Amino acid sequence: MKKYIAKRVLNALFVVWLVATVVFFGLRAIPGGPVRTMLGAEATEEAVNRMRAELGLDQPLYVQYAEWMLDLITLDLGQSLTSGEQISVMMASAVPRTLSIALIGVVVGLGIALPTGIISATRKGQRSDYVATVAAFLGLSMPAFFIGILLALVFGVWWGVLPIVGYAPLQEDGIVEWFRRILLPGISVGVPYAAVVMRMTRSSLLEVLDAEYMKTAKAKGVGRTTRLYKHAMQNALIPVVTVAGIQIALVLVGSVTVELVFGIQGIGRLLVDAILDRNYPVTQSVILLVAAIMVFMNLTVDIIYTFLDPRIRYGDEAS
Amino acid sequence: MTMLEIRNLRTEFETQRGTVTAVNGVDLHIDNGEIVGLVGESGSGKSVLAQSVMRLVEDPGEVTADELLFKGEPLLEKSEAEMTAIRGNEISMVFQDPMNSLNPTITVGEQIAETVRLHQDVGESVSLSAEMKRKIIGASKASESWRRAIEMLESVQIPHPESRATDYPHEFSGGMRQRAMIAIALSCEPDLLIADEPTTALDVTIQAQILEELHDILEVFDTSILLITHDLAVVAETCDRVNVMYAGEMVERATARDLFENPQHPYTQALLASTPQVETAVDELKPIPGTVPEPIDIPYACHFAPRCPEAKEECFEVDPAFRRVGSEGHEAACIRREPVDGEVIENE
Repeated sequence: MKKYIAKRVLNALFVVWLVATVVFFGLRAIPGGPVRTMLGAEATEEAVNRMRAELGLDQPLYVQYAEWMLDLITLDLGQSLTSGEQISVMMASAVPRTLSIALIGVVVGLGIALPTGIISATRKGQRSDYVATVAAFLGLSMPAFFIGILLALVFGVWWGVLPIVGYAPLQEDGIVEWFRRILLPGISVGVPYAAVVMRMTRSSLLEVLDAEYMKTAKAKGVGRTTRLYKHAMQNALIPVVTVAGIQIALVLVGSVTVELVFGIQGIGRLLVDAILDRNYPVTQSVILLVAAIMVFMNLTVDIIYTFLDPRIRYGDEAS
Repeated sequence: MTMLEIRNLRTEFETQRGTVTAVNGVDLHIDNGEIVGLVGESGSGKSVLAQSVMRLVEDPGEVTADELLFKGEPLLEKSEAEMTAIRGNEISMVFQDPMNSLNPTITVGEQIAETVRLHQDVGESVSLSAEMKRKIIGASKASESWRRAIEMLESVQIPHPESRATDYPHEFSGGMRQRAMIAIALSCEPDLLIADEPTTALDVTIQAQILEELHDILEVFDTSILLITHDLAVVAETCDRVNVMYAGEMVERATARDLFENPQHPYTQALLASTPQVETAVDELKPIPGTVPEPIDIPYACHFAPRCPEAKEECFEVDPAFRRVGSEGHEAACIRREPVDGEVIENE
């Protein structure tokens, strides 16, 4: 297992490097550059060249790439081209916001998805199944930012029970205020996520409930609830974990637009601004971080597998 | 004494295309300590009959019977809770496919121990929370139920039962899995074991071992067995009495010896003619032309009539009643057979 994890971590580093490289060259292939964006169309050639030299953008591409890679190895993300701020500082402020939203999204999502999926599967064809199915399709077909707008309208504007703009850091404002601020954005990204995971839970559980070994359990005299939770659930969760892990990407993508709706300066906001400004180092850093999160999630999913499915044993576990 | 008495059992499924009558008015009788065979082609309703007895038929299946008596008690009148107490304890079942009938995420030992805990007084809780705790942190290897599980694995000839008990089903071979299934089924010393094609998915050599095991079981545990199979060789080797089923109905019943020496119903005769036999080499096997009809509103009286070489017009119109066609207890449902005692047995 340890050997396996070490192998996977090396693999993950390679994937992250690959993403970094593609992003580096890809960004520079997009028309327009940071200098023109900053100085405007009327700037003189001379001013543009001076600024390019200042920012180090006049050097050959491979030199820029090598410098960035060396910086990355020493964990130096560099500075923003537009504000000169340290990117690590910008990230330190943005990342907790996005992760807070994503965390609430995943917790809310799983909290909705698993129970509804189970109810839907065990009452297949009954009214509660239809209600859950319709709700799931509604959740699937609405983008997160739209749900965010609806929630802000209902809870913020009509009822006035929750704030709809801004973020309150956990350390400064305490858990209650933090929670009040990220609850609505969290739910917004959580609903589409819940819909996907719920559908998967339902179909996976239905398949398992139909399996021969479930009939065996019944023939052994195992009661209904024990059959469901002891015999069916673990088998049914295997594909659910895959989907739940991969769809965290959905939560992060949703977070980008939802942050705009709720005026939260998370990495989504950071990324959108950076791309519009052709702010290369910031864009690279944010995408790198998202890639790292996804690779890490995949690894986590694979490790959870070993607990769920005894048929999966990675590599060197001699038994 | 009678272990199981079934009279006029029907199992119907309401479907969009009409009512599927999988089992259509079947009688079956098993005495204490008997091995009774139930033979028929795929689709004849054997498995549904077996599952009807244990009330395992899921919605939209509907089981009715004039009588479904297990040790004299009507099973159809039992509550679901009472049935749960009977299943695995007094009546248990071995399924056809050992590859899929064991839970892949629970150790073999625990799958046996669970049955013991459920039905025997070993002083271990079977509440949901206790079972989930066992599932997550593992069952106690010091418990009585675990000890019994190892004993059971030993009695079905699994080598190194202590260490194999902690294995998962995928670490067992097909034959070993079927032994483990048998161990589960026998762990509470049931009065009746229903074996639904227990050897079909196995190699011939393993088949013989499993059948031998079933024989031994009968002696040790004093269990009656209903052996469901489409393999006549298995029946000849194992059973005391045989029931032949076709398209949801019984067509012939006899002792195993009578059935093979003197088959009377045209279906049984055709079935035997289509089976290879070692003793009497035949040049050609005769397959039965046609297929088993779909059990939706079969319009003719004798379900076998369209495939029957002896069928006449009345076969399609007159319900074939059972009649004695040989020695005591040898009966066939065919109007083209004269009853040896001149009497037709009214079964409805």
